[in-house]
Formats: sequence, structure tokens, C-alpha cells
Amino acid sequence: MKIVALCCDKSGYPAVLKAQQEGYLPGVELEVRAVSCLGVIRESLLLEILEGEVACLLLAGCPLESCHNLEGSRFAKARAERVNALLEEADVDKRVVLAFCTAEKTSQIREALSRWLDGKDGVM
Amino acid sequence: MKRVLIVTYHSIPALERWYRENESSLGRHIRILPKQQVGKGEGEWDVVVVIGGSLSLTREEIAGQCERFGWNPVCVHAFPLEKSFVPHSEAWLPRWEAFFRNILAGDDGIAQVRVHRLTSNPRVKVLSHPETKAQDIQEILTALKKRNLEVTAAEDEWHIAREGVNYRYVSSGTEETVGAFVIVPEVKEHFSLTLPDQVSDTRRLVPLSEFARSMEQKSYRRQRIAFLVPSLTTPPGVWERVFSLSKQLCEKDCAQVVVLCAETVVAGEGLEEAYRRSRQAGALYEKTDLSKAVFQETIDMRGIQVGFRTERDGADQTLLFDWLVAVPQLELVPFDVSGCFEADKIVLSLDRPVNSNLPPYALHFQGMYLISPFSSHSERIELAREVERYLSEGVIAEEARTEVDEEKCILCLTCVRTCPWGAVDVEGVLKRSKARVSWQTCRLCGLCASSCPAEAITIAGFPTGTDDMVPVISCGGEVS
Repeated sequence: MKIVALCCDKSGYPAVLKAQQEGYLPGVELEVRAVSCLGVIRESLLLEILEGEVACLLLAGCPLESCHNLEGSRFAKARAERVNALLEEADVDKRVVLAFCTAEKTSQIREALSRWLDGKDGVM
Repeated sequence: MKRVLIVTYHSIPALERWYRENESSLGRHIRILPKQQVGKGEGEWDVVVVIGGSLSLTREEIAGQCERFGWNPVCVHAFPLEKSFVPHSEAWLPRWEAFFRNILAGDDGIAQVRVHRLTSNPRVKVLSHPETKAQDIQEILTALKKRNLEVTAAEDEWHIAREGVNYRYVSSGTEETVGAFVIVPEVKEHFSLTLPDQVSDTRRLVPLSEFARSMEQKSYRRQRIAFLVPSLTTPPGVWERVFSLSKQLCEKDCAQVVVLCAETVVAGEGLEEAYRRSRQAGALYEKTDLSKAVFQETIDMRGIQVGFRTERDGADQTLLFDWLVAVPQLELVPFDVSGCFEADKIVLSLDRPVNSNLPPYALHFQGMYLISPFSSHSERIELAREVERYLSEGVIAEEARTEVDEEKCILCLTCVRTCPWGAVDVEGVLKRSKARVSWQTCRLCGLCASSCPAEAITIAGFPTGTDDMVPVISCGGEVS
């Protein structure tokens, strides 16, 4: 199973790497890409990545209330929700999973992915 | 036929020779004049190339020169001339010729010529304040030497002058060309919190260094002591002292120790362990905004009451202390170069630039780097990498730069509202206005670029497209 993770430099990227090192993501082929802030990711990019051979797209960024760039995580959440609505409408089972976590806390990533695996909403 | 005027600041025999040899093949009407002979009424020139002696001329200074000569500059091309290069015409002329033909190729006057470094002079000089410890200098030299750079420490008395993209370093009769300088400035201790005079009058507020000395002579048995750390930039070395002193006070003197700080720093070698031991010994660490704390002396002037709000739960606390210990932050004093640094403009001191997008350690002057003597090992390695990159590429490029396309901007002000750092405003008048991004304030988060409905904002040097947006960091389930 391949997962593409788009992470913000400040929190998501170290958290995803830490989660991977701690073995939270066994059997997952993870492709990690770092961006300056989750707010820079446009919906078109999300859809383009999902067009490829990926099972899901993980967006890992700062907590909503303490985003380094104030609004970045909120923008990302709104865009991911719109993309998820489009995917649901088109009856595609791929989803954008959101995990808003600090650099040290990896549990949110694990929980977001396990919720998605359980077929629930992936937003933390 | 295109008329080209070449103005030189110095006599360049190699250039004259090149012109004589290539006059027929160039197909242009070219005239070479020294700067002194240039005046108004020289006639109309299609292209004017000025070969200056220094790259530190600002745009305003170039505009001033052009005004004096009576020119209206459409495009300014910079050719970095190095005196030492001129006699070696074999090495100098091919670059000059490529540069010159590149200029002539742009018939519309918008030729974009990137100025490359002409020589890779790998010599680096480390200038330090006289009071800097020799060991700190040695560690910086070692970090630079590991990058195969030719490094030497500066003498006590020296003089620097610009020489093209390099510098000429003169010291006690010796002269050498230096590609880059690493400056180790003086570091000053500074306690940023201002306390009421009445509190200072109690003489219960003691600087950290004085307090550490007094511990050897005096007992603080069962006393209440507060360490005040108001700054977020207190270096790890100072924190190490705070951890060890607080542990010692708790264990030996059974004192009650509270560390009131803006942030606790434990990122450093052995610091986390020292912090843990201090906590285990009984020291309390409380995060609070000390600028909002209330300090009041007791009536008998033997203690100080400190009222603060904890960041943890927002509870208001008032504690009585016998001693307050002022923990300083370290400040870099701008390096004084008045009288020993010749440039096109007067330089009194070298200070950190305000532009946060410049690479770390870089100064206003290309090839000059600043590092604290108390820098960590990783910072020194980072600096060495930066210097090596500069010497190979010859530019200190900003990480990236946010640019607004004037044609596309519809002035919807979305970027102004979106920017979390207040870096975007509007320039121009009425319908000709457009968004403007302040390069000094911009943190390159990219939110404006992604929010812009007209896609008028791009981050140059930091692509935000689809495929080339970011490099793939790891793939295949393993972290490299």
C-alpha cells in the first residue's frame, strides 16, 4: 500500500519521520514530501496525486489552533474536505487524511491512518 | 551600426589589446574610455558598459553615476573586475568576451546576464574579537578546514579593501586576496527584563555570574530563590549553568528554587539529562511571560514578591523570594570595522541584516559571514557549508523570493488578508496599483501564492507547481 504524505516543514515533516522511525507505519510504502506550509497545497495538486497509484494522501501539519503560519492548517483542512466531498461524489474510495500534530507527537498520525483504514473519517 | 561605449575605472591593457585584435570581427562601433574622460556630450550610445572595481555599488549609486555622465540607463550589466586577474589575459579574456557578446546579443536592451564568480579563490580568513577564546576560534577553523577550504586566523591589526568580488587583506606587511571572511564578534551578556527601581534597591537581584561566585562563600540554606529567564534566545551554555546551580541549591542548601522562564531549552548535548536531574532535585520550572509579571519588594526589604500567570493553566500565582537571579541572554555586538574596511560606501560596523530570507550567518556584504563564538557544532558545520557554497557559486542567493506578476494581479487584496506576517501591501495608484510583498518580512510560507485567485503570485526559487513542487524525501518505507 502506497501513501503519499505532504507535510509542513515545521511540524508534520518531523512527526511523520518520527512515526516512520518508530515503526508506526509497518507495511506502508511512504513517500514523504515537505512543503513550507500545508496552506500552499492547492486542490488541483491533491487530485493530481490521488490520480496516481496511491491508496491515500496524508496531510500532516501544525495543530489548527497553533499553526506556525496561523491559517495554513485551516486552509488545508477546508481544501481537503472539498476534495474528499468530490471523491465521495465520484464514488472513489481514495481519501485525503488529515493529521494535525506537533513535531513530537506522532499518535495523531497513527490514529488518523487507522481511522481511515477502519473506513471512518480521517480528520483528527 | 550599434555604438558601444566601454568605460573603465582603471587602465586595463588586456582589454585594449583584445579590442585591437577583435575590432573587425565584433561588427560594432566600440570606444573604450577611462572614467575620467567621460563627460556630457559624448553622443548617443546604444550600449554603455561600465567596468567598475567593486560590486558593492548600490542601484542608487549606479543611477547617480549615470546621471553625472548624462546617460539614461535602461539596463545595467555588472562585470566584476579583479585587478589580479587582468595581467593574466588568457584566463580573463574568454570570460570577458562571453560576457560582452552576451550583452550585445540582447538587442532590445533587456539582456539578462548573470554575473558569475570569476575565480574560485578558496581562501577564508577568520576575523575575531580580541577577547574571543582561542579554543572557540580553533573549532571554527577546524569546521572550515574539513570542507577543504584554505583557512587562516587574522592577525591583530589588519585592513580590508574590496577587490572585485574578493577582498584584499593587508596585515603587518603581507597582502593577500581572500575570498570570504568569517567574523567572530564580541558577545555581551544582557538581561532584557526591566525591574522597578525599588526591587533593584533591595540588592536581592543578582546577576547569574555573581550569584555563582557568591555560592562558594555564602550559604543559601532554606532560602527561596527565583531564576528569571525572560529571553527565548538564552543559549544552551547558560541553561546548563542554571540547571547545575538549581540542582546544587536544592541538594546541598535545601533551598526552594523556582525557574521562571519564557521557554526551557533542553536541546543540546547532555542538557536534557541536566534538566531532568535538576527537576529530580526539586527545582520547579514554570513557563510564564515575565514581561507581564509583577515585582514588589517586601516592607522589610528582605524579599521580593513576584506575581505571574502560569502558561500551563493560566492561574495567577504570587510567590515570595529571598533572591532573584537575573539570567542573561547573550548578544552579539556588531563587529567594528570603522577605519579598516574600504568599500564604495563607508562601513562602520558589520551587523546582521534584517532580511530573514538571507541564508543564516550571511551579512550585507557578499562573502562575509558572522558566527557567535558560542555557536554549536552543527551551526559551525552549517556555516562551513554556506561558505563553501558561496566560494563555488559566488553568490549569496536568498532562499527564494515572492514575486507578484503585475499583469495578472487583479487587486482583490486576498493576499493582503491571507498573509499571516503582514508582509503584503499595495503599491501604485488607482488602477495601476498591484500587491507588493516585502522581502524582509516575508517568511516564504506560500499562503498568498496558493490563495491568489489570479495566480499572480509565485515564489521564485521555490517552485510550487505539481511535479517539481518538492523533492521526494523518502520512498519505500524506510527513512534515509
